[in-house]
Amino acid sequence: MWKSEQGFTVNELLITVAILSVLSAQAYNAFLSSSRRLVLQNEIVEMQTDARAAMDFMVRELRLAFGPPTITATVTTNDTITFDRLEDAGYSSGGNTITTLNDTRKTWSSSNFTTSYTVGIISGTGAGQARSISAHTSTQLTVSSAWDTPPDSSSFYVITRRKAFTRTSASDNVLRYTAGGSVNQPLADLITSHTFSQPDANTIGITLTAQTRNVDPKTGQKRQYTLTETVLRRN
Amino acid sequence: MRHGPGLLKEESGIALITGLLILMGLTSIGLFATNTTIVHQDISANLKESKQGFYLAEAGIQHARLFLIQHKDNWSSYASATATPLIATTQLANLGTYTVTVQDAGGGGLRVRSTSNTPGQASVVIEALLRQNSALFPCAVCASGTITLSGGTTTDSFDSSVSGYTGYNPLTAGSNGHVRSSNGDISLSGDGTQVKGNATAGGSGTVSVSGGATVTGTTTNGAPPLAFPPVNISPCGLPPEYSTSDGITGGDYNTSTGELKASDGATVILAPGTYCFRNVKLSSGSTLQVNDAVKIYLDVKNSGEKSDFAPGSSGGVVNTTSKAENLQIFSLSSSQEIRLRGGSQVYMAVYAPNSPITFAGGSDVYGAVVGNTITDSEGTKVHYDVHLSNLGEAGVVMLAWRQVF
Repeated sequence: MWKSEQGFTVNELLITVAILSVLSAQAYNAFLSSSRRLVLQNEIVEMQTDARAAMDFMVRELRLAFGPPTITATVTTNDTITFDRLEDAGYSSGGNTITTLNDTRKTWSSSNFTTSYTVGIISGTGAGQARSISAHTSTQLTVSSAWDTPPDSSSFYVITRRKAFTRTSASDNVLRYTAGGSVNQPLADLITSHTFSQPDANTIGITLTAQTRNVDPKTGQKRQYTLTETVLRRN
Repeated sequence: MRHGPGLLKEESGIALITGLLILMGLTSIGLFATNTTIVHQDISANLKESKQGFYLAEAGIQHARLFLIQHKDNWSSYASATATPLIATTQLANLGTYTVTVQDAGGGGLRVRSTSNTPGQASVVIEALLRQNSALFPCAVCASGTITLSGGTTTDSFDSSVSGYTGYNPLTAGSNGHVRSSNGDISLSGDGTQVKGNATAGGSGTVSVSGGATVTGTTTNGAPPLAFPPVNISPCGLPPEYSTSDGITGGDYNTSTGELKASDGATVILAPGTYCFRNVKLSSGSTLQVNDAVKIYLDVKNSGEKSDFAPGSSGGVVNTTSKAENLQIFSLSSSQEIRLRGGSQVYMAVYAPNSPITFAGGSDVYGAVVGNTITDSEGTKVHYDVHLSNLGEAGVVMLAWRQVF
């Protein structure tokens, strides 16, 4: 049985090994490039998700801006927007003292308006005054300093909180927001540039550019993704 | 010879196993990639759903607003203490539904709350505060208190949406040049003083016509008081701030005091936009010019001095658009005086229900004037632009808007 089998010569074996190694080298190559592509694709997805989530958040917040925002430069031109986010609004129900504002139609919970909230009178008696809120019950706000003119039931008030979107340095790719003057909270960490504009009194334009964490091995460059949005201020 | 076949067998085994391993690797990469795509698709779907929910809830607010505009007469019947349905659940094709409730917000305002639900289980809640607003400029000369017109002062009307006043003449001008006080006397006197329209004194006020003055329409005493809507300061921010010098050309504007001054024949040009000042002072023939829509808020911190738009015998306000709606002046002051002077291009609408207003110079003013008291002894001709009565969002304004969820 063995005798009928001739076996392979060394030459044949060498050729087989050579062919096999060429094949496996190519397969490994394919594997390597696919896995690189996967990593790159994941990074692109991460970048896009990051940018879109940040943009979505900014649009929602800026829509609630009360009054015109302030756009200034911290790192690059027009990259910091400061605005007063409207938290609540209504007419006072009256019966206010020199340091209070009542609205018996509200049921504010104790977790509302904890730090750095402002109440301002927009129209009616006492219009133009703004005070920070030092304490509140479910239907009454206490202001930190006395009203010049205490509001009455004709007074329309808004409660706002100052917020801002910014980056802290040119090398910092983290878009941050501050709420009520607290520390900068990171919002997205792949943002290389962003600018705000005000094409007209009620519109805010946002442009945001994100980039991938690592370079694309093919081009040797980081991939970039730019988003633009226009927000119509409602208040 | 034994080793030969054995070696061969092992070799073919290696090839098979290597092949399988490589295939497995590629498959797992493929699966990972698919997984990423699926997660990405889910994110996109969620984004779409939340946007759809947002716009549905917005549609609910707009629906409620239009409904309330159409049912303005029953406004107070919607002001219930607890939230009651206003718009029943409404299906918009296959996009989802919205439901709107309404509740009293005090001060004549209504709080409407719109809740949307999409087929993908997204739900957005938007709340808006709506208020019925009476017209800002219902008459040629309106005052909270007394109105004193003498020395040949006249009022008549035109409609700038049809043609400028030059398309009319004193004979064809409209007879809607009403003079109205909310709670105060109206005193009309002197040769040539004429109200081409109605003279209506509200509250405890009476109309007195003497010395050759005439009223072409009706004369009414003790009419119901008028409610002048309060000036909304939100365009100036909170607390209100004076404008920067952006858009102001010429003159002398102090950004810290908020005072805009022009003197010695200087011309101040305001670019289109909204300005918040303490006061405006034009002196010795200087001019304030606007070429497009401008709104000016005066005394925004209620700390100011009087504003003077009447600089001697020349200069003054020039509105090159010939439409009063393009130069609206609001005053938040509780007492500061405003002086106005007519001219060939004085197209303006002044709304200062707490300020005394004095006319000087006896020329033409095209637009409307609302003040606390109004005095003219020099024969100004006020041409009421009836188009101004349409200002104010069809009588229902949105005071506040917020996305709750």
